[in-house]
Amino acid sequence: MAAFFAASHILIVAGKGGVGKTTVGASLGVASARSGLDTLLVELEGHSTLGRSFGHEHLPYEDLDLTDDDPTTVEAGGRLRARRITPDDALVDYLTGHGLQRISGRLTENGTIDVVATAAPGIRDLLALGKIRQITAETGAPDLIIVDAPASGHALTFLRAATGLAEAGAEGPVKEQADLVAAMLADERQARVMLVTLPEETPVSELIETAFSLEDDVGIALAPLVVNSVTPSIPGLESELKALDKSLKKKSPTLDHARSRAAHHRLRQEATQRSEIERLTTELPLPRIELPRLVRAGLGRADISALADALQSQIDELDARGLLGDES
Amino acid sequence: MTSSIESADVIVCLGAGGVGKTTTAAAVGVAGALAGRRTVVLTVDPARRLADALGIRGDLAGDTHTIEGDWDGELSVAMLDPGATFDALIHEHAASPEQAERVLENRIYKNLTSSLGGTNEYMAAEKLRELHLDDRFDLVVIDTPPASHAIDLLDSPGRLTRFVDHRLYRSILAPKKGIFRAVNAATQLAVRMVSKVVGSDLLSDVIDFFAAFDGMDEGFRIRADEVSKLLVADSTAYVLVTAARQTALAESAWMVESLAERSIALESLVVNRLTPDVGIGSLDTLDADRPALDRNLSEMLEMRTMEHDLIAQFVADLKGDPAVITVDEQDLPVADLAGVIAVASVIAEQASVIAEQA
Repeated sequence: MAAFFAASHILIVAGKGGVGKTTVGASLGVASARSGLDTLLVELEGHSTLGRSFGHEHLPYEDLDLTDDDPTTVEAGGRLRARRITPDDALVDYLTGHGLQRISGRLTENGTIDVVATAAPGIRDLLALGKIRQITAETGAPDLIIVDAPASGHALTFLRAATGLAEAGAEGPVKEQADLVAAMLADERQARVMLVTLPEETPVSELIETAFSLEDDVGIALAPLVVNSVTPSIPGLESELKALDKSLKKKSPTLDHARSRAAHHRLRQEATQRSEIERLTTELPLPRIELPRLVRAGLGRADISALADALQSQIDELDARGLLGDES
Repeated sequence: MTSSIESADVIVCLGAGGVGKTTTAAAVGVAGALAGRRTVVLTVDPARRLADALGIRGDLAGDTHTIEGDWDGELSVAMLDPGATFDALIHEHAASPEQAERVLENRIYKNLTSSLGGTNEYMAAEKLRELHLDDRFDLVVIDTPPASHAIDLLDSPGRLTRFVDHRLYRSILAPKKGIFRAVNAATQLAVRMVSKVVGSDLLSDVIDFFAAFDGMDEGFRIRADEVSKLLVADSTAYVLVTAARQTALAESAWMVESLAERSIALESLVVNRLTPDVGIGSLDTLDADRPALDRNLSEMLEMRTMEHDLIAQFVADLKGDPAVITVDEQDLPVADLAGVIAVASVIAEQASVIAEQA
């Protein structure tokens, strides 16, 4: 279990909007901390709901320690922290760290950095990634940093920032930073991407495209795929339905019609989901984690805790089947 | 919704990712055609099967395509090609074909659609204006780009204008014009600082871009104003598409707030993918002989109840009084025209009930 999480220092969770990427990221964080690791959850700018998973509307730029909220983590000797990283804050940190603090205020104040960032694509993303890299190099660095990446179209842009900037002819400090970040992303002991999807057509197609682009353009290693919100099958449903349908008439009680309709709906939904998962597996032969759809799906701690348990058992199962490689 | 389908010039469909926004936009378009209007649906990134169903293929990007059907009006679809739309804008505003070429060849320009946040959204708005002015159509339904920043559509004209208008570049360019030879010291310092951080090559590319763009900014600004006016016009209606899930609703709440900040009222709320109605409201006792059937049934009923509670809460917190339309999840994903028409009739039916009550 801990071996899976310790396989790289950074785990970037990415996926199309609406697939539950943030919820999966938060659950991964909890599962990792429960396995005894010092874990840092990072949200980037935007309207991330990561903080809400832990009862905070917004995460601060400094670490927020969540360890004591979870007895299992305390027992395991793990630690869970969460924070936000924004490009503007990261820029000031970066310039200060390079002896350029005098100009940092001016650049952000007069909007210069906005225009440069627009003209030199990826500077903001590079700054955020550079900040994450810097955290891994600090003393007291967490064992694992889990990053809630931007929604997938943007996730690619985000991860391509470093190579893109180098090609765009950046020089000086930016070039140095771009090289360091590109090297970090290409090293699977440093960083991996975990792609999240739903068992539905559009998110699956998008995941497949994203996965190939990530390998080709960024050269980043892929962690197991996560298929979120899979309708769990109910043993015996099909045979009970068959028996019911045989005796079902127009005049049968409303309740029996309801039973039949409900069961047909679920079975069709399961079949559609299976065929999407099958397509995913055929086109992208990677280990896969399936998370069940929760009846009362919310954003609260209890939901995160339940999903963390599901993740844990799935990872253990992949490990037992030897699908996680030589990470231990 | 009934009134906007019958009388609006533009219907903007906003929504978080994964809530069926494109399908809803297509269904609203069908409803428009059924109401006798000559409708065009501008879509951005449709799911492949839906695109096939509507006859849109990638190589048709930018063109409009007519869909035949049993309606009094007309229905067309168009898929946005942001790059081509931007190129056309440059050609339109350039003083000469040579100037257009210089901009189109510039490395910064080539990156702009991906690097300048909101550029795709602006191109969608630009295309929206083009279709709105097109005599062939009297209703344009737009499916906004699939970012969580769908609201960017509203701010995008201003963003592009601000970019081409930034005073830093104006001062860099000024000396080249020969009028303001005396470049002030602060600008020089700013340029040196920027080049220290990003390198001088990149900076000279940027300067080349603005030099090539010089003189076109006025035309862009006027156009951006027109696009902005269209987006906030009374004849433009906003439909928020969402799903009865906490994450989607949280994002939707933020979108409604953003609309309100811009004094835009939400015309309708379409809640998609509700757990379907199976004909009963609750299950009192579980049949021990049918444990699987009843476990499934009670789960579905519980989910449906929870979803309705979530919607009720969301609507109660809403400012304004949009029409609320709910669409049950289909057994199979909407993947053909018949599926889109089925959703359209659900929307039209509820909309007319709401209109009668009002």
